[in-house]
Amino acid sequence: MYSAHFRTIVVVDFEYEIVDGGLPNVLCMVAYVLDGNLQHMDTIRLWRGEFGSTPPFDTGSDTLIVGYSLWAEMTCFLTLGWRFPVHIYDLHTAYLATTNILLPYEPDEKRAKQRKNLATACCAYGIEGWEKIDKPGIAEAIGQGRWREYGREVAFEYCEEDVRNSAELLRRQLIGYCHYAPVDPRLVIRWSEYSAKSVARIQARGMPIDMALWDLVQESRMAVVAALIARFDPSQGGEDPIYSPDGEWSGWRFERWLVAVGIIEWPRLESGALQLDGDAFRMMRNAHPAIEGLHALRDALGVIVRARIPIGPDGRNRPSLFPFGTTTSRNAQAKSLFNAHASMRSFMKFPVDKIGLYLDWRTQEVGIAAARSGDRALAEDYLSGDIYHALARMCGLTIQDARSWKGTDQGKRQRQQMKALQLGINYGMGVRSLSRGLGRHPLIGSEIIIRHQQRYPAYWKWRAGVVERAMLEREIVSGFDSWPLHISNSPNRRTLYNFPMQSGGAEMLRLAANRLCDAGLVPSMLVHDGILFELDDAEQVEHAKEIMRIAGTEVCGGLEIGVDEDQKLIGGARYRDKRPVAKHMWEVVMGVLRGFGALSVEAG
Amino acid sequence: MNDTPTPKDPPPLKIVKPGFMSKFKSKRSPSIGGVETVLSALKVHGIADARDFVRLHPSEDEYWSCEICFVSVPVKGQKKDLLHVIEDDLATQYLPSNIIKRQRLALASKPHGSFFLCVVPSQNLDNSWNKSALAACEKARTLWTQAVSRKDEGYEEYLIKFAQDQDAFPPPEWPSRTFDELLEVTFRGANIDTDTHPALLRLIGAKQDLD
Repeated sequence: MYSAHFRTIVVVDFEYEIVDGGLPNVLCMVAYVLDGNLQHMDTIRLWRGEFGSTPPFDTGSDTLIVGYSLWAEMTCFLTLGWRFPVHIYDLHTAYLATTNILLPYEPDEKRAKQRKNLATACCAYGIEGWEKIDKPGIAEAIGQGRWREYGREVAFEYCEEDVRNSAELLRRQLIGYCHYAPVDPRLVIRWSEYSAKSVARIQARGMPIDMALWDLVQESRMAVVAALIARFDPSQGGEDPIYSPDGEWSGWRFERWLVAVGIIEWPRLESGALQLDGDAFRMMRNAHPAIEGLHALRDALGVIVRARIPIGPDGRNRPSLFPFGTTTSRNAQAKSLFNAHASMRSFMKFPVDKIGLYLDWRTQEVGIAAARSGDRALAEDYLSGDIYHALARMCGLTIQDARSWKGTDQGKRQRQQMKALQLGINYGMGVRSLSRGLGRHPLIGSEIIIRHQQRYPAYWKWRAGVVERAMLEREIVSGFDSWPLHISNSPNRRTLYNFPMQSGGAEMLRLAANRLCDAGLVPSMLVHDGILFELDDAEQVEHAKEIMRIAGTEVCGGLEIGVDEDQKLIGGARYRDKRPVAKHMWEVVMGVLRGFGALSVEAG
Repeated sequence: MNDTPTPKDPPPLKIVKPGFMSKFKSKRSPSIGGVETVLSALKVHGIADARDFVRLHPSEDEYWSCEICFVSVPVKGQKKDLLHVIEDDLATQYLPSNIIKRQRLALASKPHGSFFLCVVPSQNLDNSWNKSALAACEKARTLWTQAVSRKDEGYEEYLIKFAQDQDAFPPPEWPSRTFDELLEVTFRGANIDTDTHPALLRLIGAKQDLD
């Protein structure tokens, strides 16, 4: 068994008090020390006040530290001032890999997202536990600092139950259980470097919020909400405004407004209710000039009215990254300023002596496609710096150079079309969907695909081969760190077409995040194909770019993936998204505060 | 019967997209049920292709079209050819007459609200298939009617059958949208009204203009 490579295995769990957005205040810890054959040797229990400056167990290269959602344990390591262990194994990451299954494609079936906590994982592996423990009750009490209601021994017992079951889960993951094949511990250890160590560091760092301004907006919430609604809710002044004065959305009144302005078509859910997610608003954006603003308003009010983002006592937004939370292994982060409307990112303000920096990989997914497919023409066009210009030339839309083309209105419009085209091709869209996305006749969509196939034949051959092999092997894995997607019968082929690009992007982010953390350049946030930093000087800026560039190149087998500066904020500058609606929305918020005299004219 | 329209004839179909407000005004008054789900194009096929009992809208004035010109256009990457409406002038100017189909459409429903546009023959009515299909369409205005091919029996026509119990299915709840709107949605982008339309370019073998 692979565990025999280690002299000791330590299965560990911490209990801690925590406020929303804050860092853990450790209460207790239980650790089982096992030998290389996973036989129990010792139990270590520590209570608050008993923790030393180093862990009470070995964390060197002879030891494997094991836990469920180990990022939480690693955050406790950070707050206790302990060095991270050399090798860690996150049971949660292993469970996510084992159960990452692409179910049969049933677009009309509504599937509930399965929980993947320790109890669920244990249940799947036939491990019983917690029968005598009020798990949710104790967990909540400990988190809120009410553990005394249960007492020290119950808290210890609760913690130890998790450790006992985690140890058993480890045994079963390593040897396999029922239809779950044995996991490859080398891969889990590799993935855990990111999902536990890097994620713990990044989440602990968080994003700096301008708390003075945040508090001002919260104090003036009603006025801010009223101003935003007055500006962006097109139904205000009518008989049935969509938003109430306190910022509550009414689906019924929205429907009345749609009727009133003559929008007789809107996507609906299976239930019959209007579909109100981002996709629906984006799809219907051209139906009425006010739709975009209304969409922005919905996203922004979630932050202002319900203050949905966790901000710690030190003024930092610490969202959960949920590593490997999606099928393609991209993060599934929630409750961050990057999950709200782009205008709300302006609550982010870096200290005067820091450099706020947002870097992203240039058309990351196209670069990955070029690298993995080995298509020389695609690689050349990618390396030219503007793949969309290359596509426009391919379609015969322009003979201008990229710079001149981008400067014209026609070029800007065509650029958007080329983005939709490339996205659609990556996703394996058919002629009809692609044409709809481009707003063109199916014959035009078909003609564009034909030209794309003629220009990039190796890419198309590779793409077809990827899906064919995946269907035969009933599994597809990411190209760099082997994250698996298990395939049921009749999967959505489009997910398979897109998997190499999405999982490749996730790998790039993981590799860069690990190296950045090791270099002491801990990111403040990871966002799809971008990374937010809070750095000290220009040297660190260049170092961060270099690490991202190298990570891109390594994941892409030598093809250099460009890194662009989207935001560079110096001298306490505020984060400002470039989109017009985001600028406008933020100006409305600042205008209200200025109107109160709460903010100077130049502030904000 | 040969009623091939001459260039002087009025265009067979004018698809005029009404403004949002005028669309609204022509609908029932605002209510929670006033917004219908995104309307996708209706299928277009003959009455026999329904392979089920069918009702056609009883109002020929409101939900039956005049004679319209159609062409089928092959698109690489799509299994079936795309049916387009085409202005008669353009059709006769650019296309051989044997690829232009001239027929009427009527709003039709299968049991329980599955709507489609039913092809109603308007030419070559001496042909027994067309003749029996037209007869079935006429009957379907008031009765749940099914047209079944008799080819297997050696007859070149449809057998017209009626539902044994006409109340076996609820009467169709016809959509509130006008027939023009339904046609507009169904043939959105598939309406050849200029000589630069991609579908016409495809049919005459001209190069596509992607801009």
